[in-house]
Amino acid sequence: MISVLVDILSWIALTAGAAFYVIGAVGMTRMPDLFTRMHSVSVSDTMGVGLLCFGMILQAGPSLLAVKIAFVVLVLWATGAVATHALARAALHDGAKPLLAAPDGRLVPTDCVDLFPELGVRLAQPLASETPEEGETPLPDDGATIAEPAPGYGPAGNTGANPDAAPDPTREDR
Amino acid sequence: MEQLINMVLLTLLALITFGIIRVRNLFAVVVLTSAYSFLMASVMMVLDAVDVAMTEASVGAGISTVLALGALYLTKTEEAEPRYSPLLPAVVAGTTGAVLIFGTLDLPPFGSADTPLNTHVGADYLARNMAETDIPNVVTSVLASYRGFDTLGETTVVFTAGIGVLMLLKRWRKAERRED
Amino acid sequence: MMFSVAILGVLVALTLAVVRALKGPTAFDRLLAANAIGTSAIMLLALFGFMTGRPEFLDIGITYALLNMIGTLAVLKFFRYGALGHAQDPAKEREPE
Repeated sequence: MISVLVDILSWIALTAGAAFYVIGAVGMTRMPDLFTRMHSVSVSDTMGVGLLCFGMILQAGPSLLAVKIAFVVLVLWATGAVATHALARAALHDGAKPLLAAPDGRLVPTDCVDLFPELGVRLAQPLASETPEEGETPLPDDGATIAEPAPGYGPAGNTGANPDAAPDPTREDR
Repeated sequence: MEQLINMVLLTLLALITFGIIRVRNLFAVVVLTSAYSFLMASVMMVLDAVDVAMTEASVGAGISTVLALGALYLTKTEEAEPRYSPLLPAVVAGTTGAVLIFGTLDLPPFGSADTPLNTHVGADYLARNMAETDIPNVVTSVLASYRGFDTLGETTVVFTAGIGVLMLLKRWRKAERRED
Repeated sequence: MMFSVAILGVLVALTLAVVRALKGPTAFDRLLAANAIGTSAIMLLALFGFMTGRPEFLDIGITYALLNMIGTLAVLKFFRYGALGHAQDPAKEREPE
């Protein structure tokens, strides 16, 4: 009885893990730029690997083998996060610009300084000189736009500011 | 299933090889080579050669990547355009490959029991192994026990070579800095 | 049987990762794909061991995971600093010798 239950559980875990794995890989081939690809690889690196190994642990039963698989999962989770972080950092340092949706829906390469002014000091090369002035204005601006719609004004008054909270700085740029 | 895995892995290996040939950026070549090593290690794994898989992964994906990057530091990252037509090398490589494939025709079928490999010394080792060394994997016991000194020598040679390469790279780096 | 299904999934993912490694416009894309290929190789190894009933190969999987990490970080360090371990940025360069 219990063995059947364990089998069913590991069937579910392994199939779902394989599905997550494939979904992440499809994202890696289909996404438009590096950062979105990294985002989708993290699906297979966490849920895919985790579920696959969970299924294997169920099949291994309480043994040294199960501990080893758990160790593999832990190592993969830890190193995956570190490697992804290092990859993003190196790419930003190299001058890669994330593709972001402009207000009209097109995908535009955007300097991340525009989005995260507080990071500008460390990461940006091209806009480094301009960040101090620009860096202070968007932050209170964002706070204001987020705070205003919350009380429940209709979308008519705020459409200009609220949905464009992220692309707003990009519009200034271009 | 095993055959399917082998087919997929070998096809991907071939694809990556073509990619390595085609790509001009040497960073990309280093990265692709490391991916190639992991795929090759998986093939070795499926072929049940655990020790070779281990070596392939640690040498191919580990130290080779680092050494190639160290070498890249001393050169440009873009491969130069070939000055001569690649026709002659292609002919040489093609001929060698054809001869090698011709040579495999004489090999006994994969895993057959009545080959010289499995009838002379191999059977003897298989029989004595468990009693003498208590290691379930015969390949490992032969490598680490029966010819342990040979393996020790190999390790020494590889270690010395690694130290030599490190010293070479270090000296280049220092010389470059002094010029500045 | 269940391991065969999972192996099929991993093989598909492996193929897609290789496609990305070959296509990848930047070296970072290739690096991302190579990392994914390494992870896929580990999962393939573990699942294959379970499928054939000899899951002891997992020790090698752990080693692969660590090696994969080392390879990726080495390449990234190279991109970041221009060399392995030495800050090669002329602005930051200090001469200890």
